[in-house]
Amino acid sequence: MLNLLEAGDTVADLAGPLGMPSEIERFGTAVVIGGGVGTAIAYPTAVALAEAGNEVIAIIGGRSREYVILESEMAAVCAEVFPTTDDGSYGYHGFVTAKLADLIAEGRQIDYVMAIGPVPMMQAVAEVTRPHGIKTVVSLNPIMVDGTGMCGGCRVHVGGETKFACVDGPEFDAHLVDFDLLQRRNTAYAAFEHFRREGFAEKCRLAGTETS
Amino acid sequence: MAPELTRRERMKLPRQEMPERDPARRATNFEEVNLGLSAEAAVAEAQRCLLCARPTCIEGCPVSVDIPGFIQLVAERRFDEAVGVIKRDNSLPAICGRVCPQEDQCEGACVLGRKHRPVAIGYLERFVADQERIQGGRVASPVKVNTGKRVAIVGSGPAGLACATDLIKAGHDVTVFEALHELGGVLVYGIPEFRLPKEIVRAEIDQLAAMGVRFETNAVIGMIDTIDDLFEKEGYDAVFIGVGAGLPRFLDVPGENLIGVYSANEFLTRVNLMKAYAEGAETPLLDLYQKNVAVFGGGNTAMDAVRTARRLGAARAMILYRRSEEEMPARAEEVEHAKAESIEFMTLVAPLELQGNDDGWLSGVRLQRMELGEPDDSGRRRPEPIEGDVFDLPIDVAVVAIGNRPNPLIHKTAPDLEETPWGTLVADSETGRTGKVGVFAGGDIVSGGATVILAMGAGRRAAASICEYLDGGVWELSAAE
Repeated sequence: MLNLLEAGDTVADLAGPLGMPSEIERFGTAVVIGGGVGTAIAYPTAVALAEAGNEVIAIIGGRSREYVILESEMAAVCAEVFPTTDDGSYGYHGFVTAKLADLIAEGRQIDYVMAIGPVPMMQAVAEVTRPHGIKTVVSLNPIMVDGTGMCGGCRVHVGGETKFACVDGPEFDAHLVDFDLLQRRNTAYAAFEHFRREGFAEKCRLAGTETS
Repeated sequence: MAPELTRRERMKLPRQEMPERDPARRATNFEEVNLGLSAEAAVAEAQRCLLCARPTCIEGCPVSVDIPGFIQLVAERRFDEAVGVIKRDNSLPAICGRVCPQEDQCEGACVLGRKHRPVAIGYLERFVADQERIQGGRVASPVKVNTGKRVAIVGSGPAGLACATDLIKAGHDVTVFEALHELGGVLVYGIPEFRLPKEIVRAEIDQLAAMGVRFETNAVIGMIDTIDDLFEKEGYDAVFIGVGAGLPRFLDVPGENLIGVYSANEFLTRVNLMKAYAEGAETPLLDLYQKNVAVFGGGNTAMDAVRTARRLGAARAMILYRRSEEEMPARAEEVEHAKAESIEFMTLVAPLELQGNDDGWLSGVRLQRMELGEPDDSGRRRPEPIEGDVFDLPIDVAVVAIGNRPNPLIHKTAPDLEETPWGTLVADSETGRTGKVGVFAGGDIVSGGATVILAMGAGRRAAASICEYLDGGVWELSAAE
């Protein structure tokens, strides 16, 4: 578990970069959406989009206040930052998609949307932008083994074709992605993950640390 | 010294059988199936060799090992010298003795095989290599004076290791880049422990490291450095690309993205490299206990996968192959071992559709019965569907082992390397030279899916050509055509 490491601890293996680089262009106004820890992945994209001359708006969501991260960092590169929480404990009360829909309804010109977060969130973003024809890119998170194209475990369905997220992605056109398939495939090891999580939580209880 | 036998007496000697673990017990664990010949059995087997004046076995060997030469030394119990003879042409005998398709190569060409059974060349190769390793008396081959030339090898599989061996012996500075966290390529992620113990691969790599080869893991060439970077930024004088055939093929039928459908690469990598069978493994496999597992394909990889499924407790572990058993490309020994382990062989069937339940999990396969028609381009009789003969088979997990296509990663970052329409790299078969100055390639990335020994042969030929090039040889671009 990476988030339990202390300063000075080591990671056994680190390989990369992998996959295709993000498509960074001057789109005009770009909305970068991060859900939960997805915000950490969205942040460098926001920086790059700003550097490429875009006006960047960030919508960063979380279940409640403590799960909204990197707000000040985002604010440093974005024209506007909208934190959102599901429980209303901070910022906009509601999902990131509701905030996005509001911006569109206000008549804001939006040329590009980048969304990174849980699969249902990315799927919902795709549905918000689809009727408006706004170019929308999502960063997919299928289960991956080697990350170099060798195993095909991360295959996703995009525009009627099977793609390997590790070498062909991870970023794809949100309007072409089969999110239902992705969501299902990501449950393949749910029983195993549950079992491991229980065991892990037990260990933490014994050690007297919090798990989150 | 063994008493001299006449030719006739030699021909009467029975072929030694390979001792193996009991099929029922071995099918529950990952220990090596073949146990290896004893010294007595090896000497007895060596005495069967007729020492032909024109040895056809050497012609049958892709790297032309002096087979009668090493066998005669075995007969004289000079095992150390015997392994030395093999290593002149084959740097990885412990591996090749286990995984080469001998029946199609050296043993297939043995004249004894016409009337009797051929000399068990593979068993003997394995024996002398194991003797050397077990006795610990391995002496690193002398390395020539350092030439100051630096070679980058991309990929640590059979082609890369064979190439590295010859280059380090020639006094060049050699660095091997491996994308994964462990060295050995297909030898560690692909071939299971019960056929090729990883300890043996590690011993070979340790030997190379002791000779001065540098290894860098987690180094995805194409991503961290392009081929041009290796020359310009890193200062290498030559590059050998031996990245293998990386991307798995799928069946191209509906349902192949259902949960429970694996490529053989994923299935075997999870088990061999990531130890999915171990308690608490970080990279698990779907539970196969009491499940029905179907493996599509008839090659060695298919046999490895189905025998792995058997070891993980599958109720039915089945090979589904669209031709007949005769056309199966797997080594004869693997097929025999599989059958002894109660693997079911269902031949002349082709998948039409993978079927799933509402939650997206695999539940079965619709199969088309086939019959053999006229021979196709490969010389094998082409399987043709028997109209209307379709049936459903319930399965829980499917493993697709119908081959790989080359990984486009290298090409993406070196677009000036010429490719065939199949995505393999264009390189001269004798020298490994590509159309790009200083860049050589060999193994599956050039030939398409082949064998360990063919990849090693390509690696060695490229090494010879690299030496010539670094020694001031000219680069004739026409060579790549």
